[in-house]
Amino acid sequence: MILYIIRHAIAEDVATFEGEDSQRPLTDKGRKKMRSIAQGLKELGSQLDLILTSPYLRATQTAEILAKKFDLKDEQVVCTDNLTPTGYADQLINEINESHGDVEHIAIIGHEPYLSNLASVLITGDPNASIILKKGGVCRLSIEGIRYGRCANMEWLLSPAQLVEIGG
Amino acid sequence: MKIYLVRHGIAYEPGEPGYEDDAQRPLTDKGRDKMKKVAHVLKRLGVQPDVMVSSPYLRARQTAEILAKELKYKKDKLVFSDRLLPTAQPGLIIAEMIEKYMVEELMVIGHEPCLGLLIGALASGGGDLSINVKYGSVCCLSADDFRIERRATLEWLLTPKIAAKT
Repeated sequence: MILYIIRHAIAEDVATFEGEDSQRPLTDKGRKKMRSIAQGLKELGSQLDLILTSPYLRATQTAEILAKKFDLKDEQVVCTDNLTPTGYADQLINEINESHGDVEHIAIIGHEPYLSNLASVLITGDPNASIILKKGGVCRLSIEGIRYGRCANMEWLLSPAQLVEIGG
Repeated sequence: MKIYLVRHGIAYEPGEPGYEDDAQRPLTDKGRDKMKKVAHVLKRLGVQPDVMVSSPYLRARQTAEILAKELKYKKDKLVFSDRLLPTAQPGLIIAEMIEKYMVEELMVIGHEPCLGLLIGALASGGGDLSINVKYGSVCCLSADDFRIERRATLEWLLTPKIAAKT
């Protein structure tokens, strides 16, 4: 399995946005950059069969941009509470194994520090490795048999700026 | 500070006629070409090493020279350390870094498995870390300093394949 760990793109500022945190939308700049990032992923020959996303608006909007670029159908984008900022990564892994265990290329879209802790668990066995995932940053892991523990090999980690450069 | 860890480019295979000495295996033409592209991308990313330290083995030295040329680093300022040999443990090179290379941008050129262990020691406090450092790949870490107890952060990991698309 190839797993792309993707942090949502730039959203409205948490300090000035007046609605619920879960309803903060992407900014225009965030959308534009995310489209380039999605193009960058295509340029790198990435494939996607499934997107699992946090239900928060900034994550689902990021997922929509990615889904459009990769021509995914609605049923290939799945929201899960296991990817909210306070969700449990071990339950996310159970969900992947129970419902999507045979899918080859999966992207998960969520929040920090959840995502970098998860990446750390998958490549080292504990959540303490220090990995930076900026908004729109992507980490690609190859995995034989996903579990909550050391099971993955990090193939690459790219900042949003690097992916924008590739995507043009 | 930033630390760039670079694995040498593609070299002639061990044991190929004429290249029996592991320390003297040179880069292949393909290895050189790919390395030049990686060097070019690093330049575009604004990489400007203050110190470049390399394994003394030929394939690492040639990789360091390609990078030095593109990044405008004087060839005669290249530093070589046996603590970057393929089977070296990371503790000694980290001690050398702390003693001698406390600079804004440090570039380290070496081999697997030494480099992977070094990344693990710096970014996960000595923990073993599964990371795929292919020939010519570059891993960027950031840190206030690089003592083991003050963990470095993994910023990016770039492969030659990605560099070719950039």
